[in-house]
Amino acid sequence: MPNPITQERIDPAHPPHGLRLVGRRPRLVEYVKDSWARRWFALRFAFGRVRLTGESTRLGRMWLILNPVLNAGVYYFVFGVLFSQRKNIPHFIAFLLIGVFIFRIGEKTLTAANASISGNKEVIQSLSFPRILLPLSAGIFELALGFVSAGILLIMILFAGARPNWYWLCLPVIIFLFWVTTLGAGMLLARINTQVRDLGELLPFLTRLWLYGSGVMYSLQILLKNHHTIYVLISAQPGALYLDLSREALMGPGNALWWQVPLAFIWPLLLLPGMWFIWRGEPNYGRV
Amino acid sequence: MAESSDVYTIGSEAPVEPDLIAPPEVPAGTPVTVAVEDLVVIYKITAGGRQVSGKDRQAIKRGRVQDVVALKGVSFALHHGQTVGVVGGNGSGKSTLLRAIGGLTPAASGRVYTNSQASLLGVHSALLPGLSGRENIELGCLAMGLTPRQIEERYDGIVEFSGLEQFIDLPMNTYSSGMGARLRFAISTAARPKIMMVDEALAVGDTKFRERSRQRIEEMRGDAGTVIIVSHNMVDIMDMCSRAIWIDRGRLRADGPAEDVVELYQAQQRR
Repeated sequence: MPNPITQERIDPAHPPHGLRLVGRRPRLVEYVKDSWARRWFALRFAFGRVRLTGESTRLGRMWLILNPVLNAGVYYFVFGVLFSQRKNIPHFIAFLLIGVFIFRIGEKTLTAANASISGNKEVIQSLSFPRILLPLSAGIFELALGFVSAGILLIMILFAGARPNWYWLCLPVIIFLFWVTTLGAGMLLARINTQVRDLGELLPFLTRLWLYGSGVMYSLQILLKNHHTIYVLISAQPGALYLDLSREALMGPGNALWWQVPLAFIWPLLLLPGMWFIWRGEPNYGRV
Repeated sequence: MAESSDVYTIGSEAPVEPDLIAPPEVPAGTPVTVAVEDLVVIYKITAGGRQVSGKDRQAIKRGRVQDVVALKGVSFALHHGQTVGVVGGNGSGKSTLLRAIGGLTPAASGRVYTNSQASLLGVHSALLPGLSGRENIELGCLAMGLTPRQIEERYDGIVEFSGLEQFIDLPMNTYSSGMGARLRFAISTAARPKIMMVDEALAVGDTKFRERSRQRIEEMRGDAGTVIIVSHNMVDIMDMCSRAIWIDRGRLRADGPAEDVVELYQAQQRR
């Protein structure tokens, strides 16, 4: 049917009256500019949620600490006592606390970014803005909470016998690099999750597998001492890598391998394909 | 919100001729602000899990039907200065039409053109009810794309319009539903888009506030150019709109002066 008013079809290449085609993907440069212009929304949304954290439970924000502490307690009993890891690893409590707290930051960022688009259907169907702000905002929320829990971690390992030194200042950098990496991976998952919802169901198992492959509650070095190639490969994946570096920074030498340091600056580049992939998914996120 | 949309396989029924195509004349040279050409919007059932009725559910189970065609080839053009009502039953595709014009839901085929970004009035999805009214004003305005400076300029106006000066530092979830609705309306209308879409947002607040809301929409048309209103309240449509469009099960049934279209629509409803 020709357009009833204009009585003629509009040529999509040259629309008249300053009209522009709706629902085409913006060029990458425009997209980045537009996202930057809307950065305050992502930040305020994230920090608004930080403020509201724990308002619904009686212990409130205490759960931010209690959750990883209880987790660490369970792991201490199972891996430390039953599997005797505490005899093999010096300062096992500090080792375990660092593992649990730091891993949790990456895991939560990955999970939150993954759900950020498919879980915000209502926002997507009523407001138009670059959708990349959703995983970004979800990630910023997790990073803010992550830094708070890292502060608590430092206090706890002081009690567990660690002695502060200048290397402790590396921890925020390590956390940030780990966060960027998991945010990048989470963005890749987020778009797939809008197409294949089953991913959200599968993810807890994948992160559990990742947890066991990252040496959160045991030393991979000891576990894999007879399988050198596997040990090297597994130490290169972000989970093990940033945990090793965190332990190296907080507990002293012997926890990390030298090549893990340069690799720690390479993994965060995953954010670039993550952002590109989210951009490529525009403008189809509204088809839910 | 699950719309009780009917389910159709693509092209399973013959197109129905519209009852009325008589959009109001506009002075020559009046710019077109929205042009919709043969717009088709399809929702994938597997991806959305939208609600469907019993018979259709059977068809889906057997794998015959996979798509809900929410709009099946709709065309019209709107001009600067028009307030246009969109009428139609539940699940007829009205909200889908607005979302497609706003670029929120992609077209399966056909095209939509606008001369600026069309915005849907409604920011409730981006608000955090645990935060205070003040913080939500900032958050909502940022979500709509206002800059911090613009928000500063408009803040007092928003509070004044909502009439919630005394409550503005209380968490929004302590507000009554009417107060909440007033604040949301005040926030939504703070960004003055050139093309403004209102989806059932008029029925909020008490009588006095409803009157002010209408005035606000009227003002916005002055600044804006084009306002599109979806409403089930035919009085609102006839009072506020010069023109109306009737969407019936995804097709354009009528496009013309608001009184005529409402009359046609109500005649069909009574049948």
